[in-house]
Amino acid sequence: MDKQKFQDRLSLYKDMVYRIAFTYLRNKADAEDISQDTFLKLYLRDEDFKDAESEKAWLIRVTLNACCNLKKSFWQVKRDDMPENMPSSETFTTEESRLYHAVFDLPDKYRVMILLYYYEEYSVKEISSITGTNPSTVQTRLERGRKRLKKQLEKQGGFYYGEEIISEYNVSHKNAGFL
Amino acid sequence: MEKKLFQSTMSHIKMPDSCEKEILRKVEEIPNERENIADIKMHKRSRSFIAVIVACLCVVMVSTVTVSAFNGHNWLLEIFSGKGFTYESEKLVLDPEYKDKLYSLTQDYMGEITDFSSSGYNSGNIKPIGAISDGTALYFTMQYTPKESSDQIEYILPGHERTAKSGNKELEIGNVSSAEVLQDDGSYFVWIMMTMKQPFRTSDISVEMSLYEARRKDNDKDKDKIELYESDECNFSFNVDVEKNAKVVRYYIDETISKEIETLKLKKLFYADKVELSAFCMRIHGETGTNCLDFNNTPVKIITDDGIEIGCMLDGGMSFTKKTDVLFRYTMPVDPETVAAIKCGDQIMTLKD
Repeated sequence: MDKQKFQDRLSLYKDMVYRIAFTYLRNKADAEDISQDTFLKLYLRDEDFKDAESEKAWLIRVTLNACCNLKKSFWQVKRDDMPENMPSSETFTTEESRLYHAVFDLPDKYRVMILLYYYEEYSVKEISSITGTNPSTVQTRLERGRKRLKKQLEKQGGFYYGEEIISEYNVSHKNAGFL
Repeated sequence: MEKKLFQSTMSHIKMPDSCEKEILRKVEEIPNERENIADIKMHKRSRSFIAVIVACLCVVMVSTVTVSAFNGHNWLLEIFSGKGFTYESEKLVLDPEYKDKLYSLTQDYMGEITDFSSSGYNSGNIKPIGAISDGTALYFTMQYTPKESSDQIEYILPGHERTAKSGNKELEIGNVSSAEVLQDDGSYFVWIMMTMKQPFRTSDISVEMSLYEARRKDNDKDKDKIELYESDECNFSFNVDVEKNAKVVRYYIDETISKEIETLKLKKLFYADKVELSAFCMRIHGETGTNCLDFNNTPVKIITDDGIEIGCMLDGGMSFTKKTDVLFRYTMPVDPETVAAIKCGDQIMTLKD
């Protein structure tokens, strides 16, 4: 890939790749390493992509594989889990901050599925094809992830924000049909 | 809560500028390495051709793979790159100068895998990539493609039954470790490291063992729990012949390794009388000062002539015998003749004057 084209791709996909890696790994340094490896692979790839969608799907798949490999590596298995490094908190609203923590409390497999579905707006079938996961497994993980997220948010509200906020969540849940 | 809130929350996660700059910096450095990439592709094609013929033969495969330093998947580099057994050398591996050094160092220790055969579960989807040995440790790499989606696979693990022979003589296996990396085509590279309790001749080694898939399984009753279970094993065997004999450098020394164990108020000692250094391992012979030797919490390193410190990992655990030897594996290969000293904690044992 020529450098100009690569720079365009980097600008376009850098946040997506980093976001997926960070969501999976919950660690800034690891997410940076994975992002660097992924983009170097893209740069070294000689074959052209069929279209922009295939390129995006390839980047996601390579990022997820690299995250999965890192998670399973000897080094990672032996390492104590580190807390996620939250982006600068002043940019978050209270609601966003609560949701952020609830998302990052979810197990890895649910977090990433939820990100791909609700953020990248992929369908179950598309997620299945990108991740090589059975569509019914994707569906199950999304459902379980949603349930857990709802539970986390209710619990968080109950502990830290009292009844009023819980009811606010319930209301918005009914309106949006998301959780 | 709605989708928009989720999207606005997650949109705060952005790649730092420093990370983007680092990517661009690395890309700038790449043109120097493009020549190697061309070599890699050429070998990959010829090996795929072999694989097609082999797959057509029968379920039990018999193949011969000639190993090259620059073969299709950089398998050798990855053993020492942080993805396999070692991790401290990861940054060094990115350095092209070190990469060249590593290839030339390990070229003498590469073997040709012959008479590969596999049987049992998914036996058509395993093939040998390469092997290296320094006469103490044998590293070999397999490419394994799971029958179904790899999504639920947690590890690819070596089976418990394994034998290694040199000629007709059975070798006593010390420790077996494995690591695997999922490739973009859905296959795994599985690296297996086998150390032997005694040094062995590096020609004509035959190995029989197996791999099995350890899968993740959601437990419906308790969704938080994940089970690991074994599926059927994929058995395989092969011969490996490392033509060039491994170099072993031996030093007779008279040193006491001391270590203060504060909690026990004990000073545990190891009297080292002999050190054997090969390309991947170091074996220290000696006698324990107490009835239990524990190197687990002592960082051990070797120091080369040019002052580079290379980490050593203890192979196996404690020894409970008085006269014993302790095996360490380096985090990267080294020419044993260039090792000048051993560092155990704060203590330095000089090997050369």
